[in-house]
Amino acid sequence: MKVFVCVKNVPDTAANIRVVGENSFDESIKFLINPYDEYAIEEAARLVEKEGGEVVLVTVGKESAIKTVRSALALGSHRAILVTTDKQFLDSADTAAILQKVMEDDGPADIIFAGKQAVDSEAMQTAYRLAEGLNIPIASDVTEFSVANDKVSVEREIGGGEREIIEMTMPCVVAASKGLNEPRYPKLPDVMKAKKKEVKQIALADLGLTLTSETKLVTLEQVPDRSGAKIIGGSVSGGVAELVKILREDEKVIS
Amino acid sequence: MQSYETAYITVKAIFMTVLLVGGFGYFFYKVRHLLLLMNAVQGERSAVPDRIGERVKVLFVDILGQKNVRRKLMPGLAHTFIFFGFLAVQPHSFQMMIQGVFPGFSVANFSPSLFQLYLQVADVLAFMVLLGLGYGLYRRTVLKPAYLTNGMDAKLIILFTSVIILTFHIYNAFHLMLPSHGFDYSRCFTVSKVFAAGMNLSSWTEPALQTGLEVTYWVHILTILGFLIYIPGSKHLHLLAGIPNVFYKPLDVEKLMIKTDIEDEDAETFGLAKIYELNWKQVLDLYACTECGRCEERCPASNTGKPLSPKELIHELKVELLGNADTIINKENVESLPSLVDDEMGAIKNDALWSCTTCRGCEDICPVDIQHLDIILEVRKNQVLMEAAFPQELQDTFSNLENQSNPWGFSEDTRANWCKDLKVPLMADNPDVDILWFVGCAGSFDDRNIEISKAIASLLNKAGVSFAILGTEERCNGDMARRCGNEYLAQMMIAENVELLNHYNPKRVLTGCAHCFNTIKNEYPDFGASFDVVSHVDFILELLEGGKLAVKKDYAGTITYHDSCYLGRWNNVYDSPRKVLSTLNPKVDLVEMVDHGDNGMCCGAGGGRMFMEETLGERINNVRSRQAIDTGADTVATACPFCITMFSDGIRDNKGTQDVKDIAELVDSVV
Repeated sequence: MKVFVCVKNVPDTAANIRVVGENSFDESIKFLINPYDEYAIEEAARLVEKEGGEVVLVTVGKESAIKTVRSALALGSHRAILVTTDKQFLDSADTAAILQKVMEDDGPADIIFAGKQAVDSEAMQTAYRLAEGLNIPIASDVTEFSVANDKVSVEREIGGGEREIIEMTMPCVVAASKGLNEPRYPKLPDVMKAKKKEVKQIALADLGLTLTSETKLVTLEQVPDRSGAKIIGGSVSGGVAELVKILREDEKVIS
Repeated sequence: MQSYETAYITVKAIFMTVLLVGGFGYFFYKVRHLLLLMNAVQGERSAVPDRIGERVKVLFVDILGQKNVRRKLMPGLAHTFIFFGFLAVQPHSFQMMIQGVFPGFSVANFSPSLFQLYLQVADVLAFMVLLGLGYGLYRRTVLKPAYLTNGMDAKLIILFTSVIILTFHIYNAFHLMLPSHGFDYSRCFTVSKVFAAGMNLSSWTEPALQTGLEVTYWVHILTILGFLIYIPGSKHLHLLAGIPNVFYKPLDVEKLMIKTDIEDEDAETFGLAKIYELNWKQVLDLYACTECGRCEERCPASNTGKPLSPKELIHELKVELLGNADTIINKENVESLPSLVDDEMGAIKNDALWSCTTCRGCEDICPVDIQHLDIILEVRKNQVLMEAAFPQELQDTFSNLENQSNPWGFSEDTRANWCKDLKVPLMADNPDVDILWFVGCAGSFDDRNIEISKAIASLLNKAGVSFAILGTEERCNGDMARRCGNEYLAQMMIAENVELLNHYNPKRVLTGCAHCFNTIKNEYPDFGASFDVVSHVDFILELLEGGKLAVKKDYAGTITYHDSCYLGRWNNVYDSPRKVLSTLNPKVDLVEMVDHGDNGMCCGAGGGRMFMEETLGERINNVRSRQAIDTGADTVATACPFCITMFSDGIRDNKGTQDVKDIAELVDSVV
């Protein structure tokens, strides 16, 4: 079984982003595996550990993403392909086209895993566009996954605590959400082996793609600090009365 | 001489020869087996002792002085009596054995006066054994402390020893009444004389006395030989292993965690996975354990209903070791031996392994200096590095450390935000200062501990100290990751800090956190950074004693001080915090908790426990906080950020009214 996993190199959400100039930011902060992609990597690793085959990571990112690719390789994947670009933020259609090209060149996929979204751009489109490009089914927000008789069965969150179960033929795209699994912590020998695993680096220009680049990043802005919360002390009944008064008189949300 | 007597002497000589050869032969066979096992285990450790002079001194103080044993008064005295008395009767018994084969032999033939002196001393010391054993029996049948393993083994040992000592006295009582053939026994046996009177031997006929003497002889010799072959398989093996184990004990209080070469590409495994990977000294540790249970009595985990007892841990490992001795000695497929950690079959259960707070209470109190943590920490290392098996909640902590270099996951660029508005310079701007203050994660990110950092900064400025901090260049010191077994992560952070420290090459490093202090002072030299490291407690004392800080008003209220394990048991810092606190108000004495000093109880946060859930048994910080509340003191002082957090929670949860303060805050409030 050949399993691709789309992995994005993103800034740690714990880090403070400092905007530099019009549309860039200080990239000296810590970058890591997009957290949703961790579930994808884990599910792919478990699948191949059970069924046999190989897990190939595909990353589109700056050259510095190699560090993140190496750490992802320690989590049960076999090799990786890194398409290098000069930008952190790409148009989702471009990213999907690049991923598609790489996967077609590398050989047909049985299953493609991805995270349901990247925590930096939050566009939530790449997995859908990739499936569309490859003309295969997709399920996103997946919290349970199983495969039997060349059929994939997934459970996905559809909001309001509801879940639906979808069956798909293979190949297909499965976009993982939190809860799909508990991503493993790498063992030291796996970290060591990951340093020696094959990472094929391809410059975007050498891929022979014409990109549409329909969206452009115009400006990046700092999110304003949240204004201070007000803590109402005292007894519960007094507190409720106070809260009602604020909602009515100051915030005017109730009449 | 009548012929049956001659026949008896001949038969006795033959029997004794067979018994001695058999008994000692079997004993040495068993001992050889134990030595082979020590030699066959595959852990590496040099057997060449360093600092011989100090070690010889240890033999005098710890063994002959029985220093460690006597840290518990009554059992210690009992042990001292038994130890010396039992040793004292051995030459006499040895002579009896020789006499069995060569009836004419006696040391009296060579030096009657020396022999007389010896017998006089041995007779009294032997009686002391009976006193000791009497107390031991009382303790095991009436007092029955919970920590004491009270099995058949212990009772058999008391029985063996009692019989040996009683027959020593009775044998000599008979001797007193029989013709002495030139040697005067009458002045030797103060105690045995009482036995003779008690048994009314003066009314016995000579043949009856002679028979009594021979019967006693056989009971004595057979018991000794029985004991001899019993020892190597019993907990009384400590008789043989205790002394060498004490001889090889760590001479310094400060101890290192073993540095694992994580870059070693040939290494097949890291840490301690299986019993054959112990080193010879750890095997000796297991042999030396006599199940006295002092470690269990001390252990904060054992004391709060958690499934860890240092004593049981050692015992289970000993069972595992001896049970697989042949496989290990013959090096037959040792890889197939089971893993040490397994919740079903393993010698160590996960919950026990991760309950340890690394407080070193067990090691400190152990009368034979067993090093429990050398095993626990290496097993954790194996679990994390090779199995990625650790309490779930640590995964986030590890990620936070890896990504933001602090256990909470605050953005690392905010590390110096706490002192934005204070006069706290950066090393980057002031590389030539006298003091590099390593603030630590808690002091930089945790709201409560930031107040303490501010107090330290205030003190440094008041005293006019030339200092600077690393600011955002600083990384977590590595203690938490290391003690949680994540040697790889720890070494990543240590390497960055070592490079940074070496770059600034400070004259002196000041720490405000007991964990930073211990790691930087004791473990960083292993990684190439050796600096003069001082804890804020010692430094404040220096400033006070040097007149740089002057107490301007008395601190109101009584104070009790909690010893952080990483200052106390790990670094012997007991006196300076007390000295500092006593200067705050000379009129009010420090009040001590029931457990204090080297007997102090851990707050529950060490060994990474700060970042693990505590769901088993009672919370350690609750028990410890109640000890503080029970003192009636107004303030609980400590000098470690984790202790501060644990006490703040514990005092609040137990409805205590005490303020929980760091020593720096208390001093800052009065100078």
